[in-house]
Amino acid sequence: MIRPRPLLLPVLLLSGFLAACASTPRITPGDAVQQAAQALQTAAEQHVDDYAAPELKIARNKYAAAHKALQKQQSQRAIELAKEAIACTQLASTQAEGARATANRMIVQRQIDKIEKLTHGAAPSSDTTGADQ
Amino acid sequence: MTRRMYLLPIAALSTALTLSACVAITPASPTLMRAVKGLQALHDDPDVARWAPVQLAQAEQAVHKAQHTHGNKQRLQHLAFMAENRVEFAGATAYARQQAATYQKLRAKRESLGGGDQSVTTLAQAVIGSGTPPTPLQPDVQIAASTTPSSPAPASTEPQPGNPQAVSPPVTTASTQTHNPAPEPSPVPVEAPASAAAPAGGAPATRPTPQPKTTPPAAPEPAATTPATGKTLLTFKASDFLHGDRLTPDARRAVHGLLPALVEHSSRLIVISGASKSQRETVRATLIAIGVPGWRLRTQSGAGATTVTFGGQLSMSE
Repeated sequence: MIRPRPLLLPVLLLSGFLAACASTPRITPGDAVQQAAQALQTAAEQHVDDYAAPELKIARNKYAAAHKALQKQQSQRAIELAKEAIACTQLASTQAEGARATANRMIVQRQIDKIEKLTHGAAPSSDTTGADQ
Repeated sequence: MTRRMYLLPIAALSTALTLSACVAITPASPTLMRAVKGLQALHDDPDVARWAPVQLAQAEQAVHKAQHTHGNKQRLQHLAFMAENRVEFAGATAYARQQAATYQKLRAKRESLGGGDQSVTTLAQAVIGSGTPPTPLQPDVQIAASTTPSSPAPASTEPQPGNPQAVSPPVTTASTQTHNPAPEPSPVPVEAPASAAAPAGGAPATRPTPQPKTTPPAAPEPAATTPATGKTLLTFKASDFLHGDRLTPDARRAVHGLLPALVEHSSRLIVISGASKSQRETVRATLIAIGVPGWRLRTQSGAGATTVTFGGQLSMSE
């Protein structure tokens, strides 16, 4: 007679529980690719190309690959590529924000330097790169 | 009883082996190694924890997931890619928020010194003097409206395609105020009209009308030392490029840091040289992306690392 191993059942139950907890809501590949397209459209409208063209190019390539995978009915691959496209677009948009903020900061710093020179005849204030000065 | 004595250690050993296999770290691909290295750099930078704590936590989760998930090669490549992306995203978010906060403080200081753009323009005109057309200072670059600085980013590790909000860039700026009623996406902070003449190629219709190239230059800035021709502004290492065609965030910021010098000496040619054509093109594209007109840039093949150098003076006809 074979006796059941005492530790196997708890391990199996724990594994099933963890798998259930780790599962995320499923989305359709079509929705995922559509979301990627919308993200790219938004980025184009915000002129993200001006500041983060290489990252946006990667995002577009990922989106194209996701679209192709969708047509080939490779659902999991399409979802993964769509997520990557969205992530790349998000990164490109953030880099564009940073570049714009840097350009703005430099413009205003130069204007402040000019005002201080003209009105007070003082040496220009040092460029501030951090928020706390 | 003897059989039980044999079975218990065997069961314990097999359980231990199973658990150790579950927690084993996935062998690192180059992408995952870059993500781990980048995460360490984020931990070493206190600004990231300050300005992007949620994004930093997401990056940690993504790297951990990529390291501890087992599956087919495609799945692992996807997780490694996402981990690297989240690490870059955390760094970029912290940088953008920090710059935006500094910009807002400087704007407040400018206001306290006697005005916004209008009064500065007036003062600039006074300095330029009579007989020379005034050079209006360009308005601030518009920063696109997004969420507020304190709003948390989506809690999920990966961007969730099912949630439209998650795809919006969470980086924030407190103000979207511009000085022109229409959007002004031109990124170039310029003093000389020639520099403002030609935005990057493929500019959209909403960009401001370029200044005529025959406009006389602005009054000379007092006591600015003109760098000699051939002055090297920036030298790139191989590690400054990702996959051979993208700049790392630090390298990109170094290019942004050239802006004041490039604006200050807007009549100078900018030469990009080096052995690698793809690197030269990447640097050129980055300079155009931050607003340097294409006609100021010259790429040329050369030996060694990619460099950005001041060339000769541009003629008025260029």
